[in-house]
Amino acid sequence: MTYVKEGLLGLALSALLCVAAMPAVQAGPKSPAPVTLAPGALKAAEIAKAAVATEKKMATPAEKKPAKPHVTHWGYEGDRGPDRWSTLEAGFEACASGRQQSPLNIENADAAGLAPLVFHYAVSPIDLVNNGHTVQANYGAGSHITLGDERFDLLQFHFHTPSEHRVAGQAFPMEIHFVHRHASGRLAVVGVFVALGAENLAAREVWDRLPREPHSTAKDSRAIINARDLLPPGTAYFRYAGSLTTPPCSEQVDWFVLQQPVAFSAEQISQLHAVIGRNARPVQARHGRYLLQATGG
Amino acid sequence: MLNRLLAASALLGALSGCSVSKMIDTVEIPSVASIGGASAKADDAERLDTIAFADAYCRGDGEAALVATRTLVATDGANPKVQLVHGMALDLAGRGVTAYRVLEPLAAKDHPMPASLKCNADFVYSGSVSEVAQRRLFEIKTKLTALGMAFPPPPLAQATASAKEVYMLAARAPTRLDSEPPPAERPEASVSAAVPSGAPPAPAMTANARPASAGKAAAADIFVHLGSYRSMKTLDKGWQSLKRRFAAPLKSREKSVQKVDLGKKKGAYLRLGIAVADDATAKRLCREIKAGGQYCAVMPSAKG
Repeated sequence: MTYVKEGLLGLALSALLCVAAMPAVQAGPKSPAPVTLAPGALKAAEIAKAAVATEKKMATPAEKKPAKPHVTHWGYEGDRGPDRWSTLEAGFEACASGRQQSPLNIENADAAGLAPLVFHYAVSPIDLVNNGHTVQANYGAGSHITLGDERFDLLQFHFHTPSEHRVAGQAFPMEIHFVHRHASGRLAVVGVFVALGAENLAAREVWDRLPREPHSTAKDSRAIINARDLLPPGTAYFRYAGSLTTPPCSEQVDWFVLQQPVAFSAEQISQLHAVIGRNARPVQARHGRYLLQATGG
Repeated sequence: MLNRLLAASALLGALSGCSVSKMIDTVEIPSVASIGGASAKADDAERLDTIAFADAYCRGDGEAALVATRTLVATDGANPKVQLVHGMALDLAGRGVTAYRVLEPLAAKDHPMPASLKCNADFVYSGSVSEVAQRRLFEIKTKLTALGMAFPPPPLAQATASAKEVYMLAARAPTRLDSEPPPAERPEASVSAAVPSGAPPAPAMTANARPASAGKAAAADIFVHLGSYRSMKTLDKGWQSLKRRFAAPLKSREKSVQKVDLGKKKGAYLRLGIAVADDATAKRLCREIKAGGQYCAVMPSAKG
């Protein structure tokens, strides 16, 4: 039961946060009421409320059906593109006015002694969801990262083509975001660049089940994977204080961008791109934020 | 434009410890001597750099502030006030660890000369050089601690070695970086997959180098740009100062000077740098110099 509750909590957060956020405009009467996070820190009460809402929703048989198509409220092009996000809905203001927005162009980082990022990812079933903005894999409870004595639980991972972060102005073909939550509600996202290379065997589990239609889940959505297999061997990272890269662009997100990319084949990257399209927010102004490059790792 | 100059003058007056009104009344573009000490006599370029720093700082433009202070550092780097503004600019530009290294010695010693900076009606800082450095150092340390950094910062040599290590990994197997995903019909395999197959790891990235170019063949003639000056006199001073600060990397290096004309608005400059034979050496030198908080850029040699 605990597992289920935690899983639901993760699902609820996944539905709320980062690229995984479902469109706020709901199409059907059976759809849950939209929940919008205010810019700034995530509050435990909001998280709990969202978790309950999702739990109720999941208890109904309707939940197992593919979600009805929603009106895509925001996107990556035109009048719903990133430069208009802040105007699309109350609560999205941080997308324009925030001073700690993500992603960043990674350049002029300071080398620093930082605690190693330790991954405690376990094999887990995943639910694959195409939410109209990305393909997201909701992860089972128990997997986490530790940074010193702090623990952040893995909620989900999702994809961007091309990469959102850049290195010295250059984008990678793809980036994976592993979204974690601290017990306090604080989020930590691990960004992993994907470079062109040989086929990533671990990713087959996901790629074979990609939900191709927006706002749908894969027919065989119960895939089993160890997210650790999607990480590079080296876990040295760049760290900075940032935000969600999608509306509502909430800040106070700890970003850890791994220095070493992982490799996927051109075919794998193209297959995903065909499903999710171009979904990278442009890099944001640094506004004097410190960008640290962990030595070692 | 006049307002801007007056504002900058006021800022510099504050920076020098003089009263703002007096500075406006008497000097529109004050001498950098007010920062550099009574004995220093600045040329126009240095004055403009000082004004540019204050103006950029008040606008919150850390990069512009940093560009302005780099020339000051090159010409008068031993001056505590110049070190202070350099540390402030580094902090504003998001280079917290480097700023910490610059400001820490100022905070540790007694530098009683006054320093202040006023943006519009508000003082950004005011006090002795040591006091200002101590306060700023505390703020920087708080922010760095929030990011999990252990103190003291790694020694400069260690930090440089670390960056070098990352860079060498990238150079060994350059990663293709595209802005768009590649078409499926064009498979390439420039990077080994990081799958549990025992394959060699994919290359790591350094934050200060373009990984895609890391493995390219070296250019024949590379210019490592260290600073720009209006006159040979200030350029020579800058070179001597850099040789003292970066004794190891600049040992046995000869300065190289390029004349550039940036048009009517900016005018002509003398670029100070060193000519090296290959790209890798140029980048290595720049990394070491940048790690010390000094501007450095690798550019193709443009003789003339």
